[in-house]
Amino acid sequence: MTCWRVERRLSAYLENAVAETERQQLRTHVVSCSGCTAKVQSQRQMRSTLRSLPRLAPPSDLATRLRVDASKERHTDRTPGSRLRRWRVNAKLTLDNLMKPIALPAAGGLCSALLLFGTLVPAFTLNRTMAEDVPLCDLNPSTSAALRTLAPFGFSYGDAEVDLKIDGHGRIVNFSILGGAGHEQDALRRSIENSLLFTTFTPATAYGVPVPASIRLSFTSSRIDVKG
Amino acid sequence: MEDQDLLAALRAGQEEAYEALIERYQGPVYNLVCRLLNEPSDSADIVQEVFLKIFRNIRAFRGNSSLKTWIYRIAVNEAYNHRRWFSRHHRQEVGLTRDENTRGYEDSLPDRGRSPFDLTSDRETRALVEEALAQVNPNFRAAVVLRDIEDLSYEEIALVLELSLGTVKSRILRGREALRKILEGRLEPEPSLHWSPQPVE
Repeated sequence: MTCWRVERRLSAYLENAVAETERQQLRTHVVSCSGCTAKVQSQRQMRSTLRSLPRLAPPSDLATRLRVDASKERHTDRTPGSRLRRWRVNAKLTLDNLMKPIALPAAGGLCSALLLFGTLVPAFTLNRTMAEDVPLCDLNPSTSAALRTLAPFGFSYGDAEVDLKIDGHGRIVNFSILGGAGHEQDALRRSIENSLLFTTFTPATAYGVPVPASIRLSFTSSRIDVKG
Repeated sequence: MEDQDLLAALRAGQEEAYEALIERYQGPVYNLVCRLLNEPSDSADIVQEVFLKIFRNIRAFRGNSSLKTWIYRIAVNEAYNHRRWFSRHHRQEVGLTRDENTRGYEDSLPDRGRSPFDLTSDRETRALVEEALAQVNPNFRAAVVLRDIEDLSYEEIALVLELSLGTVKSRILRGREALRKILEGRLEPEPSLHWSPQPVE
């Protein structure tokens, strides 16, 4: 028997809650060990003092307050709504008793699930190939039709402005002459038609897809200005 | 009136039963609450709350434990709730020293007609123990108070504190050990009789 073991069993020993053989061993050790004897005495004295602590007298008005409460409760119990109130109290009590034991595990489970989900979500993201996708959020989603090549000869019938309709393949669908001051209107028209026959265009695009568009050309006797 | 009869009378709403309940349990509940809290000034209000709960739930009490155990359990829970509330709301406050109007433990010491020296000595010892008890961890303190002051059995304490029997024993052991350590060197050992053989002349 060691002092450590005596210390562990001291409480049970003083309450006669140990088996007879162990009690004998403890007693033998305590008698021969001054340190343990002091501990036993100290525990005995402390417990005896605890037992002899005076009963605290409640304040004199407490009993009156309790009687008033009791009277109110008894009166409330007899009122018509008391059965409903009692049912509500019982239901609340039952619910509390049901929920309290699972409240902490449920809260812990929810927190763990959220943490786990938050940690694993990035791993579930699929890396898809996006090369063939049409970019929908391009900063400059549409382009206008443009002149690609000019006719290989000059224009010599004065000035004119022409509106052209270009289809999705860059071909001229229609044109109209807005104005011009030439020697003869027919000669001007023929000259414009000849020039346009050898001119190629880049179609306009919307989100990368070729679309029909309009373009305005200015013909001058020595050069061509493109607007639009 | 036995507790079972008292319970039946309370359920029937008899006025005498309420009176008997107050008479029987007012003092013990007040003592228990006082010793579980470090601020005994609020104990009366807490006792009132305890009794209100008893009055309101007496019909829902199924009698799985004794009436005394059930009442003590309500008292312990109320004291714990109050301590939690108090620690949340008064953590920032500076503690006040005891003033003239505050009721202290020593105010209720009974006069047993002993000599002034004994009385003073006992009073000092008890004050020391009370002070030490207030320093013990509240969970251990509750177990020690229920066992050593309220004299409940281990099984009753387990029901009151809603703990296993093993945990109750452990808490009592650790509570007493904590008390002993706090009081070490402060309590003088009681004088005991020493018998030593003397030669006969």
